[in-house]
Amino acid sequence: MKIRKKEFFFALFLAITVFIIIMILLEIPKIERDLKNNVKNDLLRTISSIVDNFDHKLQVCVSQHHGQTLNSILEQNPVLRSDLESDLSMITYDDIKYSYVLYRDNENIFRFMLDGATQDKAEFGRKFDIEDQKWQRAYETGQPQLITQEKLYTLWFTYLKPIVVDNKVQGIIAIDFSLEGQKHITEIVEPLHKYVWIFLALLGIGILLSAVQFLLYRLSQKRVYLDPLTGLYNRNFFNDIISTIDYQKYAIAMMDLDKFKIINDTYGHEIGDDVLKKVSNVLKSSIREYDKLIRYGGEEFLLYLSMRDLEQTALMEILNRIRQNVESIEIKAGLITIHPTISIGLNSYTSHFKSEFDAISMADKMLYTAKRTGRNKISSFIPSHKGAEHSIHMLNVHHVKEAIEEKRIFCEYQPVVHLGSNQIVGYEALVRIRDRDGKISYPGMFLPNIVHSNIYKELTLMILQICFQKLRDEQCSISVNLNITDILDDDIYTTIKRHLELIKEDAAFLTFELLEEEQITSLDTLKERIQSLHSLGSKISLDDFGSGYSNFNHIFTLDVDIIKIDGSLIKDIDTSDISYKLVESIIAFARASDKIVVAEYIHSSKVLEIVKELGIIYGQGFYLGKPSETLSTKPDYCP
Amino acid sequence: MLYAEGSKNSVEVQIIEKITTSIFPDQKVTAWGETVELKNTLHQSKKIDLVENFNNARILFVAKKIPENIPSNTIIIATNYSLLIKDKRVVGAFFWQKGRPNLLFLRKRMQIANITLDHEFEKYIEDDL
Repeated sequence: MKIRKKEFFFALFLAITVFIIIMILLEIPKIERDLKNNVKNDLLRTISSIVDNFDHKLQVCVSQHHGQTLNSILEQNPVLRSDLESDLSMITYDDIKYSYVLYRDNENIFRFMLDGATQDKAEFGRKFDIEDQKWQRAYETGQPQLITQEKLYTLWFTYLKPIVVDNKVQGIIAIDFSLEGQKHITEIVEPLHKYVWIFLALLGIGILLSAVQFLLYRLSQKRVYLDPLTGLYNRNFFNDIISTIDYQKYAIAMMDLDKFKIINDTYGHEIGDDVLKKVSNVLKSSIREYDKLIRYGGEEFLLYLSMRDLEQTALMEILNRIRQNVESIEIKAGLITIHPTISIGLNSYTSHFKSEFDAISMADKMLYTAKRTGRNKISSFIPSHKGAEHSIHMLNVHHVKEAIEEKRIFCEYQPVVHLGSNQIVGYEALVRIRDRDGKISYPGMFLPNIVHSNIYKELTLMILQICFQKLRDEQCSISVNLNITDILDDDIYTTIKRHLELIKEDAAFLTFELLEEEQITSLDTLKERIQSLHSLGSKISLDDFGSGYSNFNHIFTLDVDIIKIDGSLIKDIDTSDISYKLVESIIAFARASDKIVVAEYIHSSKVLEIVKELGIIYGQGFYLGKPSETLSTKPDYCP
Repeated sequence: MLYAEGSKNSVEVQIIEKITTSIFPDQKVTAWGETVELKNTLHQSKKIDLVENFNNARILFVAKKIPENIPSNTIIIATNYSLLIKDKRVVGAFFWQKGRPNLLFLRKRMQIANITLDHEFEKYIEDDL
């Protein structure tokens, strides 16, 4: 958008400049013409009175010789001719090249009567070849004539003054003006021409330099805004350009390649890059000109779909086409053919959101849903009345910051039940924010918005303090949810470690539930820190196992004590064979590796029954006990 | 006819060509020029063969002085009015007067030289000076 504006103003500047130059170039000849006309008129004014005087003298001559024509008088009086020619010669100066008097004979041939020249003087009666009809006209009308000499090389113009005696023209006084006068004007105007051309040349160079600079600027912009691998726009473009557009006119889709890390780890980065390039090409060819596609992260893409003339169904068609097109890609990795898939989270109700960030967060949330519900899917945000309100009340960084300052952060504790004895053995701490009106916000309403900000760390530290306090007050087992990045964060890790070193007895009551992330950047540090927490007496649990980024290897490398099976598997265990089999496999694996298994999301007696049948000892879910601020002493259900 | 388009030199070439083709309508005429300027002018014409020796020329263009011992049937054109007056062998003159090209042929001399000119030259022919 900004680029187009710049291009427009540059083109406008060029057009105006070219227009001004054309105007100047057109104006210069006009100035020259006007100047010449003015000089010509001045010369004529000066000469006409002199010529009039000479004409008067000739008239007097004729009047003194009754009945004779001027021609015959002059023919017979060489002395008079000489006197008159002497007078004529006085007229000749710089600007006037020739002055003479002609008569026309019976055959309409012009001949000299008088010649004011001092050299090469024409004698009386010599023929003079002239072709301009104005000479004849002057003779016939008795009116003065002005001839601009365009074909002669030494003359500018000629002034003809007929000598009229008794209404009859007896001769013509002719004054030839030198071209020198005109040359002077040309000499005056010429520098103007020169300066304009110099100015033009400088302007041309300026424009050329600007164009080169503009080109370089565009090239550097291209480098800054384009991802070199895929050729798609990158985060810089998003930060500088996309953030300035009206996001409410677009549907936002967050897309993520499924299991890309596995592809990268298994087949190498070269194949990984190939996948990214091919997928990017497919994405580019599947969208419209006015949609905007950004490589948002490693294998994450952000798509702004213009809602102009676009129905919801058409929107889904585009995304479905994208998904299918990606699915149809084939990449050869040795003997193996890889078929990448993509999960898409769509938020087409961007106008429901107060900020672009909130709208993107919702698309991200939808992507998460698509991932958790099987991948290679499109999950779309559909605001129910309640949902719309929910989305409107997404909390941003500012809200969370206020809540921390005003101590409106608190935890609810959901019981973890020993399914055999029906005893509560511990609680999972779940963070909540209470607004000023007492309404409660859940993690999904604020965590996506703050996860990449400093407030997230502040919130985590506060939750830890709340849990430490609860431990002191209640002396019960509490699980705290942490991201792996939290453990890797020096401040958070140090806070935990210091507390456990200070109050050693708390360690045995604490379990840290780690949520896996797709890429662990510092595995060695992580292992070292988890080992340290272990050595202090705390337990480590792997949360949401069986979902998105589960990695069996982490169970060993991170030396976890507990595996919490992902709620999405338990939730459908009574209806989905796949879920059942997956849970069965996880349990077998856990037994084999001597890990404790906890089943989350037990929401019905039927699910509880199946879980028990499978031999799971610990369970958690609304059926067993809802989260509350105060600790429940007994499970909600009656076996 | 005299006010042709082009530079001064080009006007001279055109007028000289008109004169020569009018006098010698059926052949490419051999001509000789007295001065360097005249030689250059004649050289530019495609209708005239410029010769070094005036004895080989059918027509001479003279600015100052007519060479001695010229063949009797040679036609002489002056580029100077005074030469036309001075030497009766000159049949006509082409010269610049008051910045304008002028042409003057004398009928009697033309008759003696046994040449005729096209009708369009009529206004440039005088019976006598």
